[in-house]
Amino acid sequence: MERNEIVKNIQGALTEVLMRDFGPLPESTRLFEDMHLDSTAILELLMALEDNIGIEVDPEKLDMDDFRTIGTLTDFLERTPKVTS
Amino acid sequence: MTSLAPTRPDVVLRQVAAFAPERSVTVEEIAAELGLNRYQTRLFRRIRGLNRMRSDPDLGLLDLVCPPADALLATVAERDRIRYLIFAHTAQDLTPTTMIAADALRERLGLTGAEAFAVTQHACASGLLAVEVAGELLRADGDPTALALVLTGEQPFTRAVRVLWNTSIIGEASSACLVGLGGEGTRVLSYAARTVGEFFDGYQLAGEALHRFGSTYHTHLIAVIQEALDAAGLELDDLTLVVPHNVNISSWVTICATLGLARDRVFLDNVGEFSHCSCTDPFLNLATLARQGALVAGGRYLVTAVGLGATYSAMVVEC
Repeated sequence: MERNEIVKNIQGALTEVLMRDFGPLPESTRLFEDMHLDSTAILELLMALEDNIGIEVDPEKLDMDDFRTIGTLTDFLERTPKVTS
Repeated sequence: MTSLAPTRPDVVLRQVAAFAPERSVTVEEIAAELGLNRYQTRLFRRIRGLNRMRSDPDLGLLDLVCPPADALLATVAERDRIRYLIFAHTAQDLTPTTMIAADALRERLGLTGAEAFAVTQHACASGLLAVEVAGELLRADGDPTALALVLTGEQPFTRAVRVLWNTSIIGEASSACLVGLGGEGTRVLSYAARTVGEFFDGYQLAGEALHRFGSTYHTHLIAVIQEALDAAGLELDDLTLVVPHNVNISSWVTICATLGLARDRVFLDNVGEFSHCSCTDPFLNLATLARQGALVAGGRYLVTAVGLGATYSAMVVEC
């Protein structure tokens, strides 16, 4: 999946989790400070992304640093292998 | 922030018994009932490590709490030595105002000579607090053979107390713990508890306070674990096993990583089977390990609990 598609998926997942449409968001958008997500809402966002992108993260290896911004989350999702069904 | 002084090592858990209803529900079933969305539901299974939990809506409160106490009392020859019945629970009120649960338990268990009261101040950490309170009362009693019975068990009777944000879902289980001074049993080497008042909103935490509660949870719990270890004169490596509360797996993944503690040194088997059962977790886990023959004579175990409000507590025991 192209990087810009992952960013669009994150924007879509944010809309679903926060139940509010934000329109296009830059990669520099901070998930905690700008979007006011807490650590548990971040995980809900991650579950939405797993569902929508078809990946499965390793719950034992989550690093909150990967969730600082839309950009760092995109980096993380690019590194996460897709689930083969 | 407040800290309690460590217990003098004279308190002994003479017996621990636990009970859980036969009926159970899966995370998906309970999530649907609670109106959680599919991502929240997935989170509880995938990240939090919850699978199923016990729940029997046809069981009354006393029917839930009494079975482990009945089983334990059947082996106690002199019931009149039980001077204190302490019912530790999380929700402040479990019964209508016309009924005092601790009194009702005393009557039903036939412990008419015991003082009966509730301890709820540490929410889900109140079970460990009740053991500490029992020790203090027994020291002051004057009769060295006096005993205290600490009971736990409650049903999450509203949605507000059933699901803790995206963190845990409450299941049902109960326990009974007979406490004495000295004698055979599991000796309490130390107890430490810290209450961090900024999280006083408990279930109502939201916004920045909820974020801070989540981001400092491990720090506060690790601090109190260290305090309990120091008071017992032990290092982490001296422990046979950590016996945690069952709130979820992911919080222990973080704590293990921070402490450099191998995951197989933390007993997490009951998280998927029972989920978080309010004050009962530490006793349920000790009873499970005892039933499995997994408690080593002379082994040192670190028991933990966290209560909303927020209290972080740790107890080191020796079997």
